[in-house]
Amino acid sequence: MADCPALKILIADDTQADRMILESIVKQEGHTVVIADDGLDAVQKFSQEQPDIVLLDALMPNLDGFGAARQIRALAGENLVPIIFLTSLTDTESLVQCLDAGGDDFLQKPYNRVILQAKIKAFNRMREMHATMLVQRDQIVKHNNQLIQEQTIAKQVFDKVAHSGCLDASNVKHYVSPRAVFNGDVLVAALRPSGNMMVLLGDFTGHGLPAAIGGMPLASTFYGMVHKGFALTDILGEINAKLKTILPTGVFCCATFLEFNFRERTMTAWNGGLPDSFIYRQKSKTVEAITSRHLPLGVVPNSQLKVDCQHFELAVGDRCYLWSDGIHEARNKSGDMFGEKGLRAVFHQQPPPEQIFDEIMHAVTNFIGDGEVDDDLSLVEISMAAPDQVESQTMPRFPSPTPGLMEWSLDFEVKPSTFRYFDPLPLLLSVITEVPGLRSHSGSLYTILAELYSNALEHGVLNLDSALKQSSEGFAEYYNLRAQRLRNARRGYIRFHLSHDSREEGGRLLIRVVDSGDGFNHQLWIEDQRQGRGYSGRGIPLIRNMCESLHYRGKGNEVEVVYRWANELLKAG
Amino acid sequence: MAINSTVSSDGAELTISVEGRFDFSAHQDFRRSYESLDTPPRIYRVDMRETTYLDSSALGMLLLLRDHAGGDTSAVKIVNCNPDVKKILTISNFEQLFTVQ
Amino acid sequence: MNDQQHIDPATLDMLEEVLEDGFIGLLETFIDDSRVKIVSLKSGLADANADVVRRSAHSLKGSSSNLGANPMAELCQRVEQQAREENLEGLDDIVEQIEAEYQHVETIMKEKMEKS
Repeated sequence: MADCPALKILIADDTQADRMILESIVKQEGHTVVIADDGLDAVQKFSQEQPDIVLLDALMPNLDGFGAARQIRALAGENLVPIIFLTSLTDTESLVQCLDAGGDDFLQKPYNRVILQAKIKAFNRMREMHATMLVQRDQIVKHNNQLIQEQTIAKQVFDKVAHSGCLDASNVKHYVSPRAVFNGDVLVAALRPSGNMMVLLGDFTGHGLPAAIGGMPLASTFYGMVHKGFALTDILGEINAKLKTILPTGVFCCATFLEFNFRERTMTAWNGGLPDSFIYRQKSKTVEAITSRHLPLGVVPNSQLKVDCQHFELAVGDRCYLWSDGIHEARNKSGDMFGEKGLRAVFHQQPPPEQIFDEIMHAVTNFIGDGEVDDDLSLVEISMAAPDQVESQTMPRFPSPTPGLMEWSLDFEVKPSTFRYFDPLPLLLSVITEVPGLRSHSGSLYTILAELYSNALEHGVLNLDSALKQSSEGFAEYYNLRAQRLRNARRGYIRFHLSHDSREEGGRLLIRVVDSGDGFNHQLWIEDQRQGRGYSGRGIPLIRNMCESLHYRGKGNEVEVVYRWANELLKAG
Repeated sequence: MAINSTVSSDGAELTISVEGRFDFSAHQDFRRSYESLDTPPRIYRVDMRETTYLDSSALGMLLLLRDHAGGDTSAVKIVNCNPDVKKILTISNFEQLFTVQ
Repeated sequence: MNDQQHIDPATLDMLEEVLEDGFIGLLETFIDDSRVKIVSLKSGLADANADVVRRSAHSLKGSSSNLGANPMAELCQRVEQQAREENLEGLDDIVEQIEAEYQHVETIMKEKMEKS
C-alpha cells in the first residue's frame, strides 16, 4: 500500500504453521520478513538484521517472548522499535506482563489479517514520528550548543566593551546575574579625567541576547565619553539619541546614572525608570531614595529628553545602592515579590555598613528559596571614599607618548549659546593631550581646567555665590539657580588662552581664563587664605597644589596658572 | 492573560481591556486589538481594571500603541490602574507620554 | 458433526487466499506439527510433567485456532488451563477427545489437499 513503505519485520514463533500464516500476511503487504523460531534466535536476528518492527510469540522455548522483548529493547536503545506480542493468552495478568516487558501491543490468535495490517501501519507511523523527533532533538541540541558557543564568544567581546571600566575599584561592589549567557542588565563604571566616578546601571526591556545588544552602544558611548571628560548630561543625551535611533519602538533602557565627586564629596543622580536607588547615610543610619523622575533612555528623542539631575552631599563612608527591578520582582515559591519592603527590611536591621551588600544578597537568595528566578538580578554598591583611595587604582591607562604638539598657543572663546548646551572641556583636553607626555597628566589637567571653567562660568558669568553651597538647603538652591541662570544667559563670555612649550625633560603649560563677570576682591581673598580664614570654595587650594603658580589679575575676572610637567619616560630612562 | 477590545458606537473610542498579567505573552493579542480596525478611532483607552501585573515588555507594547495612535499627537488613556500597576507606570514616568487615570 | 463443525470453512478460505501456493504446505506443516505435539502431550501426561503438557497444549491451541479448528482449540485451552494450575487430573479423557477431534481435522484437510 502506498501509505506504508516496505519494512523489515521480524517474526518470532516456535509454531511453524503460525509462522507461515503470519509471514504470508506480512509479505502480502510488500514487507520483508525475518524469521526466528525461539526467543534467543529472535534476539540474535534482531541485532543482525535490525528490523523495523518485531512480532514476538509470548511462549517460546529457550527464551520466552518477555525475556526477548527486554533484550531487544536494550539493543534498540533510543530508537523506537515497536514490539507486538503474538498471543493466545487471554487473561489480563498475561497481557499486562507483555506490556511490562516492553511490548507495545498484542495480536491475538487466530490471526486477523485486517487487524495485523492496520497495526503495522499504525506502528510505522509512530516509528516515523519518533525518528523525526530524534532527528529534530539532535538538531536542537546541536543548534543550542552552537548558539551557546557563539554567545560565549560574543560575550567575551561584549565583556571587553561593557566591563572595561573601574567596577573593580575598592569602593565598588557589584553583582550581575544573567539568566542566560547574556543579560538585559548592563552595568558600566569609569573615572573621568577629573577623578570623578561615573556609574550607570541600565535594564533593557526583555532578556538575553536581544536585550544585551543595546548594551553595546550604551557601553561604548559611555566609556568613550567619560574618559574624554564629557559631562553627565552630555553622555545621557548621546546614549539616549543612539538608543532611540537603533532600538525598535517598545525596546528601551531604564537607567540610573550617578556621578561621584570624591574631592567635594558630592553625588549627582539621574534616574529614568529604575526603582528608587538608595543612599545610606552612615552617621544617621538612614536611607534616602533617589526616585525616578524621567522616562527611560531610548523612548523619546533628545528634544524631549529631560536631563535635570538631583544633587546630594555625602560623607566618606556613605553608600549608594543601585538595583534593577529583578530584585524587587524576585518571587518566592508562593509567588510573593521581594519588593522595596524586603530591601528596606535589610537596612532596618542596621547591619554593619560593610556587610549591607552581602546582607541584601542573602536576603534575596533566602527569599527566592526554591522559587524560580524570572528576571536578571543586579545590585551595585558605591561608597563615598577619599579621592586617593579611588583614583590611584583604576585610572585609565593611556598609550605611550608619540611625537605630537610641542610648542603652540591657542585662544578659545565660549559664548552663551555654546556654554548653555556644550561642555568645552573635552575639546580643550583633547588638544592638550596631543602633547606627547601630557596624556598621563590628563587627570590633573582636567581638574585644573574644570575648576577654572566652572569658577568663570558660575561665579563670573552667572554671578553665583559659592557661600550658598555651605548648607544643604543652599547646596540644592545653588544648583537650581545655576540651571535657571544658565537657561536665561544671553550675554557674557569665557576666554581661554593656552600656550605650551616643550623642553627635553618635560614642558610648561600656561592657562589663562578670562570671564565677562565682575570679578572679586582677590587681594582680600588671598590675605584671608594666608590667615587661614578662607572659605573652601573655588577649588583654588587644590589647583595651587597642582600648579607651579596661580595668579589672579585685573578685578579678579582673570586667572592665570602655570603647569609644569616632567616627562615620565625620560625620568624612567 | 486575556485581551478584549470594544469600539464605542460612534467608532471614536477604542477600549482595550487587559486581564491578568500584562507581559510578553499578550504581545500578539494586544497588537491585533488595535491593528485590525478598519477605521482608526480618535481615542484609545487601555483599561487596566483586571490587570494584576505589568512588566517592561508591556510598557514597550504601550509605546507601540502610542506610535500607532500618532506618537506625540496621540490620545492614549490608561485607566483604572491598581496601585501596583500605577507604581510601575510612575517609576517609568509614563505619565509624561500617556494620560494615566 | 459435519465438517463445518470441526473446521471453520471461512478461515480456511481466507488462508488459501493469503497463502496461495503455500496453502498446501501450510496444511502439511500443521499436520506434521500437530502429530508431534499430540505425542508430546500424551507423554507429558504419562510423566505427570505439567509444564510439558501446558506448553504442548498452548502451542496446539494457537495453531489449531489459526487454522479454524475451533473445537480442537477449545479442548486444548481446557488442558492448558488445568496444566497451568498443575492439576493433571481427568486430563486423559480430554486428550483422548483432542486426538479424536484431530483425526476429523486431518481427514478434512487431506481431502482439501487432494482437491487442490
